[in-house]
Amino acid sequence: MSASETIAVVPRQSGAWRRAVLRGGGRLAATVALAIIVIFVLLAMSADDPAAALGSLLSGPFTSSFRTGQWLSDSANLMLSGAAVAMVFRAGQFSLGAEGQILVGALAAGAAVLHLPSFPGVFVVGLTLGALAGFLFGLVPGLMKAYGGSDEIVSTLMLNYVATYGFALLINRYLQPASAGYPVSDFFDPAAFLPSLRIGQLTIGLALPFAIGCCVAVWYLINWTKTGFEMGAVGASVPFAQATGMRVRRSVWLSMALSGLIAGLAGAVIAEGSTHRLIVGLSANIGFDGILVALLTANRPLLIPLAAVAYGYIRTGGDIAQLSSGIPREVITTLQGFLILAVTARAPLAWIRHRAGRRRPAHGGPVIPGPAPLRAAASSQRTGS
Amino acid sequence: MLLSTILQNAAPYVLAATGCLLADRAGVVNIASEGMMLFGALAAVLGAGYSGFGLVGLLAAIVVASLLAAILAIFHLHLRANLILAGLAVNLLATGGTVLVLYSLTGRTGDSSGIPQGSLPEIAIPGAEHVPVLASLSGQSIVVWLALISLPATLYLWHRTRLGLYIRAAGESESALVESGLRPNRVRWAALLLSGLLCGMAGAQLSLSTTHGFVRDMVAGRGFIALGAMYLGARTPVGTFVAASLFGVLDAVATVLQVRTNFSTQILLSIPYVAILLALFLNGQRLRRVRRGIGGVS
Repeated sequence: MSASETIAVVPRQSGAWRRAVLRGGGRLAATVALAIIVIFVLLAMSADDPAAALGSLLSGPFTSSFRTGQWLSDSANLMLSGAAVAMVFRAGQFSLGAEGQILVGALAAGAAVLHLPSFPGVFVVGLTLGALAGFLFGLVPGLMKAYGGSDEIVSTLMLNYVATYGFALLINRYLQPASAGYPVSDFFDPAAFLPSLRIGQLTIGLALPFAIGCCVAVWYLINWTKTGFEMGAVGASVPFAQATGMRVRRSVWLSMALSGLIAGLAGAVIAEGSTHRLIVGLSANIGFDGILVALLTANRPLLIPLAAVAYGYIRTGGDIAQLSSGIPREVITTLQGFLILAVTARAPLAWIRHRAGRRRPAHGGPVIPGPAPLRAAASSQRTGS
Repeated sequence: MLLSTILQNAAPYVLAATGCLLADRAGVVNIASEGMMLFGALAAVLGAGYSGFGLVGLLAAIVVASLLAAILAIFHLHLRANLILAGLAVNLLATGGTVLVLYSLTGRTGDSSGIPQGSLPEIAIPGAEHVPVLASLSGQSIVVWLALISLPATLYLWHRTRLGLYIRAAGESESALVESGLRPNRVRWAALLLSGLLCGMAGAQLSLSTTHGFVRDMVAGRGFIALGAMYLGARTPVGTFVAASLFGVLDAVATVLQVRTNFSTQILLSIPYVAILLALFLNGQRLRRVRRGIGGVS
């Protein structure tokens, strides 16, 4: 199974590329429209005054400079998570493990800065260790797939739970102060906070430029380095990559480990930049949000900042609407489900045409519906209809 | 006493894992089992609570979980959405949707305490109170009995019916199915719907018998464990049944240990996942030996 089947990577330097971008833009607009309709329907189901709730959701992030800062910081976290997912999807590996890798990264960063003596720049140590921990945690399913042939979808799903329970266990046992009634660590030393810049009322964390930089780095790695090219080739076709002498195994584990590295960084950034301590539930599903962000951009790293800012707006709006109108923030989780379905449905128009066309007898023979995309190999043996 | 706890805990795993098995062998990996169980659990509480009949709850769970399966089938089989991503989306719809439905009915987001609590009908064996094993079996919910029947039923389906043959063919050799004049997608539809039905039952057992009431995210990874149990059982009916039952034993033991000792809950809860990871790795090694020479990673 490869993610490249979902995501058509259109070669640039061609008219097709421009058309793909235009089509992508149209699709994005349709997605935004769909998102707003879905939100409204969900709100109509659950809120007393859906219009007011929608208003507070959609205007939320601009109602105060604190909230604007929160939106931008959330977007930065989403960017990192999205970059991690795009990285691994472009390499054709279907890792769903960002959520667990984020937790492991946050844990490593948090444990380090809580135990180290405070000195200026200690946050860099946290970021480095978070990235390292994420790398190792991504390496596990990577090696399992490269050398053991283990399906990475299942292994990463399982590792997410191992990370969730391990995170809670270690906080509970070693990092929780005696006074805390629930599993949470002490606040970090201010030297371990991610630096931020104050512009008037607005606080912008270092996380935002840092996350954009990471997206650019992923773009560079995938498009301009030999390793990245190999990963893309392995993602597109393993037999081809093998036949041309590429290092298939290395590509598999390295792409998954590098994705883990970025996710680990995301975890460290969330801990040092947003929560300023370790707290159970710190990742708040952001690993899966990253999947949506990556899908919205068809895994193009340079577009991820845009998608993350847009999706982060709705996410923060949902949090604010929960506070102001009391609607559950699960509206956003549900929306996320709808959006993934909408973005991954590749052939709605073709299907409708196909249904319409079937009423007419087609060349005598029975019409065989299109095969499932994951069975591409089997379908190539078909004799056609 | 322990045996009856084991049965109650194992039934959801067995049913959901059987559902995953049917779908997987038809060539559609059902990672939405988690969401189907979750929405099934809520539907069961609502159906049983508002009608007053446990069976209505069970039916509601089956219908709702099958609807989710239908969403997955439409998006994957017809709209060509990637199966894993569509499954993930169904899980998110369930996570969010259950809370929204609960909130719009009761104004609460955490649990179903505003709804009258029903429970599944129980089947008792008359006069079994003093017979060692039968005593634990007697008085179990109808879903536990269905879980016990599911193994022979699956074996029958597998080896004695056309549908079973078609399901296996859909996964192993689609072209053979096409050449026999059949539509693989129809077989996959059937497999997915059956999978939804089984996951719905599993959800009903969770909220109407193993525990009483719906709590948000109450499935807590059981759907994924069921999926893993299928891999652990080497994708065969008997293996899947045994593996799923083992996870039920583990759950029961964990419950007992949590109450009687201060052994870490988190370690107990993560054992199934580690076991599945090991199984995946060992199974991969085995496949590698089989495939040696054919080449590389697939």
